[in-house]
Amino acid sequence: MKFTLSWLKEHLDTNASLEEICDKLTMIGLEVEEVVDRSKILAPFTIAEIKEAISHPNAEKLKLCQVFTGKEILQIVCGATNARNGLKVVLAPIDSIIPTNQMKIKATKIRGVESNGMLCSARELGLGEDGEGIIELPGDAPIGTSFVEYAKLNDPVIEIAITPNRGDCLGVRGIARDLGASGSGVLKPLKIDSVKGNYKSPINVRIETPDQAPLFIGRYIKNVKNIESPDWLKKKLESIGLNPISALVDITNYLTFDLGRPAHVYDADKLNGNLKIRLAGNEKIIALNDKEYELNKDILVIADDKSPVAIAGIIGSKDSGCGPNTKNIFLEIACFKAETIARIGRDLQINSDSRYRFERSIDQGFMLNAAEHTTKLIMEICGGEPSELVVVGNEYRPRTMKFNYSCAQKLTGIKVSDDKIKSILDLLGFQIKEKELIIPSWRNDISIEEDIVEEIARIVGYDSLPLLEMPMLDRKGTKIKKSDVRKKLAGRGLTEVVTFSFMDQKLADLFTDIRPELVLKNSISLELNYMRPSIIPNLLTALKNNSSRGHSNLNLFEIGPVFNGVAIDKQPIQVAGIRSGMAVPKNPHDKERKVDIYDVKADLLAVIDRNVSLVREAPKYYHPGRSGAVKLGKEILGYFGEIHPKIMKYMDITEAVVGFELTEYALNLRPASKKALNISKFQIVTRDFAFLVDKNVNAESIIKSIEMLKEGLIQEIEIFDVYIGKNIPEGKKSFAFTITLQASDRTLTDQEINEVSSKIIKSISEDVSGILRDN
Amino acid sequence: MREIKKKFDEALRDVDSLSKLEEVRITFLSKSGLVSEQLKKLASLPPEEKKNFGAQINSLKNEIENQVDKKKEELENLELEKKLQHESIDITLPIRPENEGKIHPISKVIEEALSILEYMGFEVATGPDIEDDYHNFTALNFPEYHPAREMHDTFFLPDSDGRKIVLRTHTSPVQIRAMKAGPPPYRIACAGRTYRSDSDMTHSPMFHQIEGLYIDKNINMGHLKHCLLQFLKAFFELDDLKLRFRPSFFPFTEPSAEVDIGCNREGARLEIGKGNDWLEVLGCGMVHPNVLQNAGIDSKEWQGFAFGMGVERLAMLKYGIADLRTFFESDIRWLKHYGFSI
Repeated sequence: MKFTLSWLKEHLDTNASLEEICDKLTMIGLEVEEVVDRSKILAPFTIAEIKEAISHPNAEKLKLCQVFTGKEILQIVCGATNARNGLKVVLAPIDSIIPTNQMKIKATKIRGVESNGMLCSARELGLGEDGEGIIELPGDAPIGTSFVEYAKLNDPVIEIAITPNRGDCLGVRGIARDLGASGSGVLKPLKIDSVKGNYKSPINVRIETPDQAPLFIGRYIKNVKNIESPDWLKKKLESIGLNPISALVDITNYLTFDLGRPAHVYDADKLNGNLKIRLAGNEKIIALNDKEYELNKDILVIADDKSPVAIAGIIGSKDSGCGPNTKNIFLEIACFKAETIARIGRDLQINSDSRYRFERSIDQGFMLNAAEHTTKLIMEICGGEPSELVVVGNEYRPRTMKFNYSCAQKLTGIKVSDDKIKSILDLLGFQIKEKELIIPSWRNDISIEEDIVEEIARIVGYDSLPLLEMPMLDRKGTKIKKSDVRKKLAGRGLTEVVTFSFMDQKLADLFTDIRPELVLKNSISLELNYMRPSIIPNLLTALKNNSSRGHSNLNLFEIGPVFNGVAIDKQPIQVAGIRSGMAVPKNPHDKERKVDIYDVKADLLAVIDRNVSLVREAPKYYHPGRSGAVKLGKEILGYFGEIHPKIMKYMDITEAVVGFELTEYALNLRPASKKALNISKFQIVTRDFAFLVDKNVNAESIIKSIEMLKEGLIQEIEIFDVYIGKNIPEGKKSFAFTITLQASDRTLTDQEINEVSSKIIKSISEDVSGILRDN
Repeated sequence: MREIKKKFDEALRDVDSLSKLEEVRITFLSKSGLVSEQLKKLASLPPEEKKNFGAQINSLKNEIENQVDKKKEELENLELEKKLQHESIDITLPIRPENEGKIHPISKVIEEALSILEYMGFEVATGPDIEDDYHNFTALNFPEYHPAREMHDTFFLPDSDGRKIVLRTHTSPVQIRAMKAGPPPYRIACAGRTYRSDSDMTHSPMFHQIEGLYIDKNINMGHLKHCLLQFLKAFFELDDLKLRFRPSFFPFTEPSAEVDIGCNREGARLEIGKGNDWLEVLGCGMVHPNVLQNAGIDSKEWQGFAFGMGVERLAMLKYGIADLRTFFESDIRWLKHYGFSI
């Protein structure tokens, strides 16, 4: 919402400075977003005269002007076609700054000719859209004086953000009223003169949907002249960035911004018969914005006997609009239900100043006065003879509510006396009758005590809020934090990323069976249209983007949601990580090494910190031979493996990538409670074994075979070698491990050690047909 | 004897290795050495000379032994030094490659904020990213056709069981879920991903919020102010911080406020906690009675406040990150620069 300081002062009697007014506005909830003080930014620009304009010797399209500033003649090169002898212009002297592009004017040479300033267009000064030629000032404009003062542009423009509840402040008068209530001045009375109509309107109005359009006031005015608006009106509209069109249109726009009261004027001669407020059928309307809209039974329209002439509260039809030849008009001051207008506006995607106000609720108590006020303005500017008012529907009845004075302190902690409350409410337009409040007709946002409390608090000032310490509360148990996982992974050299929860459906298709319920209906792009089933694809995308910038050896992880459905339990939090390139890059100390699945298996196990089992089972996007799952009992805790070559090919990633994922179950696992620790003081004995086993016998089955012995002396089994090759028969591998033995109560004898060895050899022979190697 | 000493001194002078020293030791101190030979003479001397000669020879022996030991230590030290010199390596070589992982600023800020709130007695609650229209809007007192709803550019998924499905536009639906999960009082905090279908310089389709809710008896805006002052002071690590509450509007709070913190914009970089300017950091208010009622709570008996803020904004302010969109681009250079070591 934009307005100028002088416009505000038409409604508010105040001595407050611009700064004071702006501070107050912000502190009562009308947040000032911008103040444009043209008297400051346009201060250096002066009025000058082109004494002579000839063609630039070296450029056809440029002109060489001798410009008289009042003190001296400056030579200025100008590109405008309208630069000519004797024209009064706006001069940007050396060192001035063009407000729209922040360009600083310097003495320069243009095509070899000196230029000492610039002649300005309206667009360059932020005064309109006209950038074609330079501003042409009237012949009597005084040379050498300030342009801002001459053009009366020294009126600061204030722009405030209006929250959706404050429809009443979408007119300058509403803002003045709020400032008045806050003590920044006194609201001036609005003089309304009733205009007597001499005849009955030839157009009648009927409301078919009183629940959506409770009241309609109309008036026929004949013999108007839709002339160009007077200067004061044009200037006002221009000051807030609106383009003047014609008097009738400008008057309704003015009312919209001055009083927050949308009005509409039909060309009565283009209407067929009477008006009706009804729901549309399957009709079409070409609106004033030149667009055609298909209507339906959910859309409220104002229609004549033939067709809709307006989409209620939003926009009029082109056919029934006023033009330069309009002679007789029908004025509409209507009231529509806010939700109806919001819904229709949203469905048809039409934004208009009228819709903006109707959907934030307009002042129903002000309709009759608005009709009179508008009539008077039209008659003053366009002439005409008004009919009697057409009033259809229910007269506005003020709403009332109960209010308990103690509420204010109870909710805010601010101590305010009842008298102070009364005076605030009075200034805001409330009427107080014992414990009942009559709500002002413009405050449709107020209905409960809490609303009143906010009114009191914001006028008293939120600065008065006390500082009160919160009482202590019993604490409930807290859960393990995911930050531990984060620290573990970062400590292992993985860098955390945060990627979008949505991804490309085409890519997702390689990772999951697409679920239609997870396709965004209004994604911002096709690459971001599907709720990710896994974090891995996003990590791969991140890797790809980084490697295309020349980065390698990337280790990334993310913690975030993945989606298997829309139900609350189908959106688990997961941890995923990937590694690529060298685990140990080329260096002067050690042998280089590429990452492999054991790196990510290690990541996985570092997070889990439990005794888990491994199974050869993983989602389809892992290499089937180089992947697996980690299980605790029946529960899967996570997967790890090399990313499937098909995915790599699709994503055009050349270097192998290994990855892991952890389920939410794994994340929420508490560390296992520990067994009692019995530290033995007796000698530790180690024995190395090497077995010849089938190539496809895995490490876990060998370890299991030993563990199943439940031999209490065995403290540890450590695999130190797996070998296939020379001296090993085809289809076999050598598998070597160290067994650590220790007793809690004695030093082991050779006999005992040999017994354990025999058990191990027998077990491995029976379970996996392993044969002890001799050497 | 003097001659022996002279000989010894000469021999020792020429010693430059442990092996040569050993030769000298043998020459003088072994059983057949020069000193031992003198000792053998002792037996044949008359008793009156014995004592004197014995003392002299013993003194000579001790003297030589001491000198040999001293020389030995000297030579050993020299030899060790030589060896160490030989073992010298290039200390300017780089260390073994270390891959330092970093923690994302979003996680860092969420962890900082939540740990402060937990210290202040808030429990951490969570909720789903895919929400229904009811929890995201209706229960939070957003009427179906209200401009406030339109201010949330909402991502939609296909309807499910007659419910409109959305990506949550704020973390506030967690309030509703937390309140429905058990009886008051509540003092909960939550942080998480939020989504709005808006993407430009200053908007990302995904961003993060932190939210707090405190419902109890007789909790008012004074408690809210104190709570936020404590939180913001702790978060920005400032002993003194000016706060400004301004009236605002949110459908789910009444009265509502926006909160600014004092700052200085005059320098090249924004300074928080100094100067006379203001910077908006969060929105808050007293929970609207409709919201409490929607969560099944008697708003006559219970009241309290809620507040919410943008994580990216907090991160940008606290850690000087300039561009919102870079948070989600996973550029390893950015991550290494703005990320946090553990």
